[in-house]
Amino acid sequence: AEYSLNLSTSLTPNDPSYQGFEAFKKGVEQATDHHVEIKLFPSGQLGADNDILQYAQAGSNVGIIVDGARLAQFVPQLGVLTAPFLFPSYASIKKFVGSPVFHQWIGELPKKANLNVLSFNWFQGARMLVTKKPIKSPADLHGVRVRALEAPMTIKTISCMGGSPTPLAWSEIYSSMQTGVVDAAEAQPTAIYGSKLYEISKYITKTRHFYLETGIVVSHKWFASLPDKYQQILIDQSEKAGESASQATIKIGLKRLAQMQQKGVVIESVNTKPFAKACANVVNQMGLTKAAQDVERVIHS
Amino acid sequence: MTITVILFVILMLIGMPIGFVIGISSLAYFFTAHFLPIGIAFQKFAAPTQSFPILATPLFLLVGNMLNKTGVTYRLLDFSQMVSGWMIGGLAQINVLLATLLGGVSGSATADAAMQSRVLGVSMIERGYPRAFTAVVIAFSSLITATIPPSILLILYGFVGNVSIGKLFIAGIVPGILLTAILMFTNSIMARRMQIEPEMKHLPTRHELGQSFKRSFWALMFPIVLIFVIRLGFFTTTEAGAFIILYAFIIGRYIYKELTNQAIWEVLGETVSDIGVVMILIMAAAILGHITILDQVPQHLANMITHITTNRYGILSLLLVFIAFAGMLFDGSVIILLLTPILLPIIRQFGFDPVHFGIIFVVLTLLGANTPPVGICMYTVCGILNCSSIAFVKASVPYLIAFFAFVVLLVIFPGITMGLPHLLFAR
Amino acid sequence: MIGKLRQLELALAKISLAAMALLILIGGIARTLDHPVIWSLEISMVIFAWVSMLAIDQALQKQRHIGIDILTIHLSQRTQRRLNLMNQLIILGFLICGIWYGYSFTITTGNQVLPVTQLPLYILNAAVPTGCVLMAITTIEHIIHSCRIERASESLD
Ligand code: NA
Ligand code: NA
Repeated sequence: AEYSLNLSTSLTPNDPSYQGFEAFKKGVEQATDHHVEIKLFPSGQLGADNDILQYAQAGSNVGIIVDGARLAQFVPQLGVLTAPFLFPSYASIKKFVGSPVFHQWIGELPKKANLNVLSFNWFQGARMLVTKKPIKSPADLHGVRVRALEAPMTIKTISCMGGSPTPLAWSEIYSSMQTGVVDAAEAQPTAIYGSKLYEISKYITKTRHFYLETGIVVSHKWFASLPDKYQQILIDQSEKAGESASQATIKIGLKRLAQMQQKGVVIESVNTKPFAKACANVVNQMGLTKAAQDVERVIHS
Repeated sequence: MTITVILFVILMLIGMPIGFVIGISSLAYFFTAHFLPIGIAFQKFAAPTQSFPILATPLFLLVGNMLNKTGVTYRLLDFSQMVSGWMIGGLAQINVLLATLLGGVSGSATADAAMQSRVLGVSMIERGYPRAFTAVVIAFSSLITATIPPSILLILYGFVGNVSIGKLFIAGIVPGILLTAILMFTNSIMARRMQIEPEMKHLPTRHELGQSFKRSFWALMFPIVLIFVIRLGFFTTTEAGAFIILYAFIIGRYIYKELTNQAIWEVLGETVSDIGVVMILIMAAAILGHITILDQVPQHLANMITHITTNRYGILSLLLVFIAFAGMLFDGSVIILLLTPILLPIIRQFGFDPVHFGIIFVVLTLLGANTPPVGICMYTVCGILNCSSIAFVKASVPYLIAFFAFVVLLVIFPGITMGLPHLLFAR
Repeated sequence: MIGKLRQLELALAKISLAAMALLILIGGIARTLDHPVIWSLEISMVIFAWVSMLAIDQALQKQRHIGIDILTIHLSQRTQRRLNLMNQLIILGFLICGIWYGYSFTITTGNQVLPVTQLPLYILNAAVPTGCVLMAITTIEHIIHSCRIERASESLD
């Protein structure tokens, strides 16, 4: 093939999104008559997400699945996508990432970071708490060590919800929760299931503190080397694959919750109002007041 | 990739240090590839230092050097001489037992091997054990790490392959004990052959044993403390490495009173240069790992295998041979990440249990750390004990045979791995 | 001058190693006492990158890196010396690549930050090229030394 893209993800091949990447690969290769080839590298084989972003910045032909928090270092407003309790539903965040405001934000990436977003409609699921004891209110999280994604927003979110944020590599989560190095984790159902956390925890509380929306980001240098029509094919195909992968993720997420319930995990809903109230100030602390207002305007329009 | 292979062979044969051989031959690939900025090679070189499990390596190296300076090693040796001095090859046996105790804890074979080389290896050589034999015993005992929980490789396998990590841990226990027994058996045969005299002519009296136990109490507590802090969930394995440094510091400084400021400064210096010897290998291997992944080399090889035969046991044997070869070339965690998604579907399709396969897979993968051309554990031990790698390879033959027998047992009798999980997880 | 630099380098490596162990320990103890220190791990990993590079140079100075001598031991002393010199030159080339491409990569990704502490990423990415500078100095010293020996032995012949 004339052009080739190495698409990296920390997700495993068992994750429902992975089928989406396969569909994307097939779609692009067919539509370009195999002039553009896509190789998939699951399970973080090519490197940690942050490393791959650096490769893309340096002009390598790599693509990577990332969330808004990772891109906030280049365009700060993007951090708002993982803000706690800002988006009330998946529909609202889906509406937002389709809006002109969002497109203007990601439009700054090529100049600021030498990166290009192909699509940002890859939904991974709503984040929930995985704990060893029941959680009904922020007070129940007091003194609970919750594994935190290594990002300031998540760390602030866990604190405001009442827990003690403890940064830890996701690969360490099973052994750390088993021995009690941490007491809890927060993740989406497919990831909880994939890491087998149901073997060592008792409760999943559906806090839905944020909806994890991700996108495919590629090197701008590589993207700009493609003929216009191939660029458009990549964008169209990734939008299309992202949409169907999101639907599959939602369906499989529900199935995973049911399976984990069968294995003895208590799955509980919770009144999220007290949590949301406790976290109301996070966007201001992160300097995202204006961005949050933009979000409110778009999702209520 | 061809240029990498050619350069690798040439540079290795002209005697270049192996870390540079791996780094330079891999770098050559970057000059031939499109859209592969050369800076990435050097970023990859640094990547292992950002990995949590590898962070344990320098800590356990420091522990090993500190224990020597604090007088812990001397006392441990004194005690093990009491317990096993009357056995043939007593120190070698103690080595395996210690590895079984510690291996479950540090979780990394290289970290373990490095520490044991410092703690026991030097003394073994002083007591007249052949250099290469000492290195081989340490390197092979450290493989026990792979099966006794917590094993980082088993966690990786379970994570990537969607296999129950709890079951894998339980399944690893009996093979771990079996491997301990097999290695001790091999030790006794080899020691007899080399006519290493027992260090004591008689069994120790109860009084002698008691005295020695008292003298070395704090030293003996060392593995127990380590296991304790991890099992109780105070620390991750990496943090436990840091904690045990504190423990060694306290007993060295305030109980045995041998660890002066001067001694600490020396220990840090020795450890720094040990870290250099080990880290260049791990770091250069990361560049090589990256380009083989980019070229999807493992996938191509796996495809070839399924074209050769479709017989159930034929496939399994081929896969195991293939894993063993891959293990000879690459780091264990790289292989698990790469091959698990490729091999597991084949394994499931032919009706083998993923837990059973996982244990064999992980054990075989680690074995490669003790073989040329890329054997991180082997080079580490040889580097610290100053033993030539050719002598190591020659001395390792009996242990390779023992290991081979071990793997065959695991394959033929699934009960060794699956018995315990079936008992505990039966629904 | 170079001697002073060497002493400083080694002292820095030793202190960093101690600091790294201490930070990891503090992280673990603080978490056990329910006051997790969120930045300790990230900082210790940055230190680890620097310690590793300084350590590799240290081992290079002491010529402790292991090679395979199956073939070379059968060659004459003179050929062995020449091969060794050639090795040194190739290694120097590798290190110069590391300096050049390492620093340019550091600059390209200069606007990235470390996820927890939000410190600039270049404090991490500069470790490899800077380590390569130190190793290049060491290698040049080795080369000069090898050339001297070579000349001395030639005048003997
Ligand atoms: Na282990
Ligand atoms: Na090997």
